[in-house]
Amino acid sequence: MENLVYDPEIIEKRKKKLVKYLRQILCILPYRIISLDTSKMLLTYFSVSGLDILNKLDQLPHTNQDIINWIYNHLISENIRGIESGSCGFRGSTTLVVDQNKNVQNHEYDCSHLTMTFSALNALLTLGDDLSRLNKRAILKSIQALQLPDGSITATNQDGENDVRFLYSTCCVCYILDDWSYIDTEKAFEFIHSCLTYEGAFGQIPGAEAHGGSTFCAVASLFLMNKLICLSDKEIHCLKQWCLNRQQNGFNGRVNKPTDSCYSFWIGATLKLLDILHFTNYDDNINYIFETFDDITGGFSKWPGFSPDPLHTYMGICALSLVNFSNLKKIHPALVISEDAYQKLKIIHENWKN
Amino acid sequence: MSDSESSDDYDSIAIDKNEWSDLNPINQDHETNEICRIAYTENFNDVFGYFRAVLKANEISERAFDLTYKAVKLNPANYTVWFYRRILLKELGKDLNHELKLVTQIIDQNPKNYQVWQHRRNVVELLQDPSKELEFTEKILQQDSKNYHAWQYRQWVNKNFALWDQELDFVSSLITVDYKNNSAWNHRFFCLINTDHSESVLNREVDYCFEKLNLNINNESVWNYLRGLVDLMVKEGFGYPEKVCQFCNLKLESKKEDELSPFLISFKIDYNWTRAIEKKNSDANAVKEIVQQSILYLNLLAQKYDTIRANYWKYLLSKWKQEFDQYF
Repeated sequence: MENLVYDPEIIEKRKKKLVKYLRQILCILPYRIISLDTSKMLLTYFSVSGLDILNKLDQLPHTNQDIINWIYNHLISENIRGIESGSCGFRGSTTLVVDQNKNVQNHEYDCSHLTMTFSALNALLTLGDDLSRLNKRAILKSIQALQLPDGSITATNQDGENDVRFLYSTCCVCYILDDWSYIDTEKAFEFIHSCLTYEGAFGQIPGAEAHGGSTFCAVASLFLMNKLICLSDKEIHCLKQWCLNRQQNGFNGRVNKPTDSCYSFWIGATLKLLDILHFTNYDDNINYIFETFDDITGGFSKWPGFSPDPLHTYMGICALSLVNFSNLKKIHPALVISEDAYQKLKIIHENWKN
Repeated sequence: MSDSESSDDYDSIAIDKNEWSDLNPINQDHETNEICRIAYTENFNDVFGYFRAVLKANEISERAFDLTYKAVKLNPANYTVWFYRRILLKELGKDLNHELKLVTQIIDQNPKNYQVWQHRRNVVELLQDPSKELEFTEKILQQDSKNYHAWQYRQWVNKNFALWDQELDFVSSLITVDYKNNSAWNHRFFCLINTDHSESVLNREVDYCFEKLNLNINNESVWNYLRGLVDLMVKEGFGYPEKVCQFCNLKLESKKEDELSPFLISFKIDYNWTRAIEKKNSDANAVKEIVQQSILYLNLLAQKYDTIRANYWKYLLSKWKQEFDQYF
């Protein structure tokens, strides 16, 4: 029996539905996703980059410039908050903005969020923005204020968690802004290293269980900092085996847990960075991802039959790209943007050097 | 009233506009709201309209405190609301034990939300009273024995307040219920590292692994834990435990198909690699035997016991060939 997953007509139909789903994110969202109210920037990045990877960036529901302007509207500049406040960067939404005058201090509790800064930069790159409206120094100095003595980084200056996720966002931001001088990368390595568990992979903080998401954040951070080589041969060997062992058909994120489509990305990208993705079974992986595809809404969900959501939809698209499915654009497995967007970044870096 | 609000909940989060007649709510910036618009309810707009006004005025008051409750009920992921609430907690000298009760309720309804666990931690830090915390995490773990936030939080309580006495029993009871609960195994290792990991304790732990492997040889959690133990024993200078070799060999020599597990086989292969490297220039016969055995096992994995990773096992085979060329 022919596997319909590879049928060109079915692929086209599904791509159309995915495009519709992603476009919708940029338009209007139902109230039931209210917990994402402070993460709209992340959703924008997922949608824009998802369309890009599908080669459908021409189907954005707004112009590139409108979205770019919307993104910059979330930038907290050094005029509004001091650069050492840890606040300069991008907000996730305008939910707590009280003054439409962009040059006036909003209020003391107006702060940026590292993951939103990372999301904003990725979306801007994908949309073709040259990042010239940024004060790089302000953003980086703010991040400097957020790094803790143990090397970890908090997302905001509001008593938040300081786990490996935000070290990842930081490394992406430093990589994109092409400047590592504001963070202590030695300490960052030490913190990441301390998240290695007896299982051979990384938990979110020291002592926590080895987990696919944290492992991606750790490995991608090390990759971007050029410090993967600082792990020992034995550590790399155990890490590789732990990651490979996550594949059941799709992938799970922790030992003895059910598969979840997003780990096709978190683990898939990690394996790609470790240069061993080709040791996995692509067919089983692709088939599982599509089992989670919802034909009605056009998105991917964590499990077959579950409701889709923007994160799993974007991760599903990225995971398919990693295993060369159809003619999806290749992605940069650490920054998680298309190769095209990454090439635009390289040009920006060249321009900055001159 | 939206579907997601019961009538009880709705009363507790509705705004009494008379209470707020002196302050104008601030609307969200609509010009830039065209992208990623959420279909906010009227109630949400009211609550956050007044909260924006409170932030702008930097108002420290009881009504502001109540407002933060409404706001976090509507969106417990809004970290700034929680942050502002903590400021009000301090400035107004609120009863932190009452706050603990409240956050217990909210975590119960949102057990996978980061901000609510962070808030609990902040409150407990202020109270410096961990007496309810182990019981609380146990309750959450009863609902979901692998809740990552609950385990992470429990570990913070253990370490911060040096509360270790209950942990081994706790973790053992969870493993008895589900010997594949990897979170419990991870916690077990965490407790070991932070308390007694003397040679006798580690030996006891190895026996514990054997006991669980005899129930089910194909349990990845146990094999990972066992490898962690063995690495620790070597690191602490106790040497590689001979009984682990014996256990593996016994299982591997078994003819029964269900006595072989891919984790058992790859465990032995990893062990073999270390031994073969050690003896490479000193004991040719031993190395030859180890290499032959490893080739056999790698082929078994690729062809029969772990075919989904066949490409990897074939790659490892090529690595063995490369390193031990003369023994092929």
